[in-house]
Amino acid sequence: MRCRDVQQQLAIDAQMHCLPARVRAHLLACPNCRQAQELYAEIDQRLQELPAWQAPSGFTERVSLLGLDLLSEAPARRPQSIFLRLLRPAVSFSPAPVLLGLLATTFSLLVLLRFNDFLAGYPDLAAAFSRALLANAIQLSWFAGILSIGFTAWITRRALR
Amino acid sequence: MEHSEQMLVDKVLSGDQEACMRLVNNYSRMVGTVIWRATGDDRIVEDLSQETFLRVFRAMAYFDSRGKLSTWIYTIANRVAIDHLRKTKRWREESPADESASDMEKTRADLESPDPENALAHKEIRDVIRDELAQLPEAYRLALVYTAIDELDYQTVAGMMNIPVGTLKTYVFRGKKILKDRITHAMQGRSATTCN
Repeated sequence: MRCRDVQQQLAIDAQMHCLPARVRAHLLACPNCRQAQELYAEIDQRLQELPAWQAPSGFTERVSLLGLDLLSEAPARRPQSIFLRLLRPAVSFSPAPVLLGLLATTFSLLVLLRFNDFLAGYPDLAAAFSRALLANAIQLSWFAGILSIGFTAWITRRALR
Repeated sequence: MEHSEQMLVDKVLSGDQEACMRLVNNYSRMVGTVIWRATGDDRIVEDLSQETFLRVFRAMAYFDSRGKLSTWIYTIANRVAIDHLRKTKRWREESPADESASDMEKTRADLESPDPENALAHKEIRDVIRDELAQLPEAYRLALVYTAIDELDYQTVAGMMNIPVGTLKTYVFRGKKILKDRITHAMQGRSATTCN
């Protein structure tokens, strides 16, 4: 193990019992890293000695009363649109499937509709649609698969809440 | 968010005074500690803590219930402290006169110990750390002082500072490395003086 890696580990987890065995083994053999460990422990100790704050008496009452005044002036909770309510959990839980689903949707729609072909060669709307559907079966199955992953992610996220 | 936290938020939003007091009471110690550590100035902690809670109450309606209430409040405290630091342009470097009673007690105990030479070295290290902390870049200093608070884990501090945990660990490492190098330098200077 390199000294730099060991010292990085020491700076982040200075407590001996948190260190991996190979770091401890390195420390036994390396006086420089042992010295660094002592200094990091000293630094940690000094930082932990910084005092904690205690609220003076009357602080809680004063601030909560001021807060109540603010709450009475504040606007009510902003309602979320249905779109955001449905989409946000899925996006925050797993953005990749959702983005892929959206991309696949856009792509499939573009392929399906093929505006120029549609207008030029297929006067019958239903026939045009079914031909396009068959011609793009692979893309459609991809789209369905990705959409289902996104949907699963969304449902899982809802269940975990 | 925990069920009890959700209940507290709902009660606060409905204007329940007791819930407001409980919110302030539960978090005031940590909010004040975060601000004190961030600014290094105990004289402004009360004002900035109050400012933090007023921002909390003002924004409570927009609190995202998927997050932790404590992390959200500490994030606001961190923001308030940073705003103050940007306004005043500096972290208050404690002068020896500001040394707290506990520090002086510790120094006296150190010097009365069986190994005063070693105790003197410890005191010097403490002084170097105190002085050098003020010189560190803001991000490194905040990472160091926040992660030294027992109740805050890396995840929470990273959330407060709005950075990934990996970046926070890098800041902690770099900050401590700078302090370590300066202590080593100071100790070498001291031993050279002693030899002469």
